[in-house]
Amino acid sequence: MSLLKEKVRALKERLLDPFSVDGLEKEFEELLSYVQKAEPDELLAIRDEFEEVKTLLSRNLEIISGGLKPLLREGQDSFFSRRV
Amino acid sequence: MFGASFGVISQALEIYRKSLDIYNRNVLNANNPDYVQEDPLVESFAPAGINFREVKREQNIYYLNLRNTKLSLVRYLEERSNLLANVEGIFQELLDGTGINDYANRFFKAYLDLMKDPTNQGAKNELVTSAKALSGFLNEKVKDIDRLNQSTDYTLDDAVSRANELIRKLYILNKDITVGYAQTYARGRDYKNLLDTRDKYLRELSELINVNIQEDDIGRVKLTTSKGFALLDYTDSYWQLEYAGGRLLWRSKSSPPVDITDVVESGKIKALLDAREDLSRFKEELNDIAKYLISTVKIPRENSNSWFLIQNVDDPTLALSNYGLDGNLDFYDNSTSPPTLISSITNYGSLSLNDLANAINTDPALSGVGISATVVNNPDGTYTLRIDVPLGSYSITDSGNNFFESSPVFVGNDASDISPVSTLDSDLDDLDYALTDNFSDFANGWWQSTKGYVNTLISDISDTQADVKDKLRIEDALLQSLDRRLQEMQGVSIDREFMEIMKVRRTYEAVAKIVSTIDELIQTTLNM
Repeated sequence: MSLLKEKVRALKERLLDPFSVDGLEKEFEELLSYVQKAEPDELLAIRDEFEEVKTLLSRNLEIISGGLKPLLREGQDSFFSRRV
Repeated sequence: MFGASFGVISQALEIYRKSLDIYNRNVLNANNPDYVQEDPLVESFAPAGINFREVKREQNIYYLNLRNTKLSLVRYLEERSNLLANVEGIFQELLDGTGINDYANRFFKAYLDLMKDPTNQGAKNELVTSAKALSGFLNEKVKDIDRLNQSTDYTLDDAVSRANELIRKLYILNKDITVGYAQTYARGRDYKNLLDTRDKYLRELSELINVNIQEDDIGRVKLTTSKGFALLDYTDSYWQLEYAGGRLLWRSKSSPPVDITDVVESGKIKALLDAREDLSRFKEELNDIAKYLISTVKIPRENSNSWFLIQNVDDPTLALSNYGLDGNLDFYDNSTSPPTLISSITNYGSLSLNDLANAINTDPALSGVGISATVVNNPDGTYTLRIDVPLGSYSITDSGNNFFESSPVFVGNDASDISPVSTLDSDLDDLDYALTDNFSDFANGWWQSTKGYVNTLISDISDTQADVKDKLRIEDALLQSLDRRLQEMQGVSIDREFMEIMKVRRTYEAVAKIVSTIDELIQTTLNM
């Protein structure tokens, strides 16, 4: 399996957990460098899995933004507690 | 003066004791997944002393609701995957020599061997044995599917009863929360242990069926299914579900029950409802194999006195030429030497199957000697024509090579009752050796179609399972992550949590930019 394919697969696995972001940016920068050097047939081979990475990424952004929404809407006091 | 001081000290001690109670509760419930850490909020009341304001629950309601939604989805996928594993077990495709492919292959091979060597008694015996084994396998598998369907029904009954019980318990809990809130209003509002019980019930209910949860200011809940069928309306009312006739019904208070089978999206109940559909589809696919074999597989005969149109047609009202079938049928009286031509039907391709049957049945020269034609409606929905002649003295020739004296190998309506014809043994002693090459060619045609039906069934089972397992892997990882997150957040300060979420969000935003660049690069390179 090419390094590019391995990287995409590993990132797909990492994105399954939306809260695990340590070093994530760096890993995507690495992926970018692989993509820049890749041949068209290599890119073709990872296209479907890269689409899955995009889907997971947008799902995770949605989850994180969802967690922030109550805070931004109602203020910090109501964020963690059910009001009494 | 001292009296006032003692009052303050006693109040402080009472608050200290209450705070200790709350911390103890936190420690005792350290391993309870539904327990939410509580913190006593104490405020200064200078110059009089301190006051116990409220017990605060440390919980992000957004993640909790998302966790319950995902829990419902994961339970759905797990249950469905387990049931599909049972189906895989029934068909045993993974074990060599025991799957449907093996039984079908063995029968086809025996058929071809006999057509190659029609006098071979061993080949005849093997054809009978393999036909019995194949039809027996199909009978047995349909029974297994029916049994699995029945057990799914029982489990569904139980799951619906359990969901009803939880809805009723939550209704009572809503009332208890109202009372608890009123009773503890002036004493720190320490009724939140009820909310832990409530969360436990909500989690259990989510495992059974996906529900939308609305919470009021004091923690009572309103529950609806997808598309808004009410299950619980705070303290006002609750509704029950019913499982009947393979359908999930929502029992209305004032009108007949409403079928919400297609409304439910996840949870164990949805998995079981979908499993019933899966099982019914697999059974139909199994039936397709049996129906096709019954409708198609025939052997060439010397003295069956029945001529069949070997190729089945979909529409008996369409001219046969549309199916590439044409020729002249000549009917002979064999009692004379040479045989006497008693009637002919030329270019039957211009006639439909119904018209051809009619032409034979209304021909006085044919009906007068007892020759008749019947349009046979095959179990697989196709049609064929059977021409019966009186024993011994008449024969038919077809210049188009579409009608042959022959007889079917299998009888029945579907996989539940398919069996070899009772006369198969003696039928095989009456093989027309002159036609075995033709029937070998036909066999290659029906074999390809049979394999197609078998593959449809096998890939349906394995593809459905693979799809479910893939989704389960993704959703289970998210569920575990959310559970971890909810646990980690216990006792974490608001500021720290806010900073952490902002950090995660910033990382994702930075990653999104890189992904966008990668995406553009891929698009540009591949569209070069």
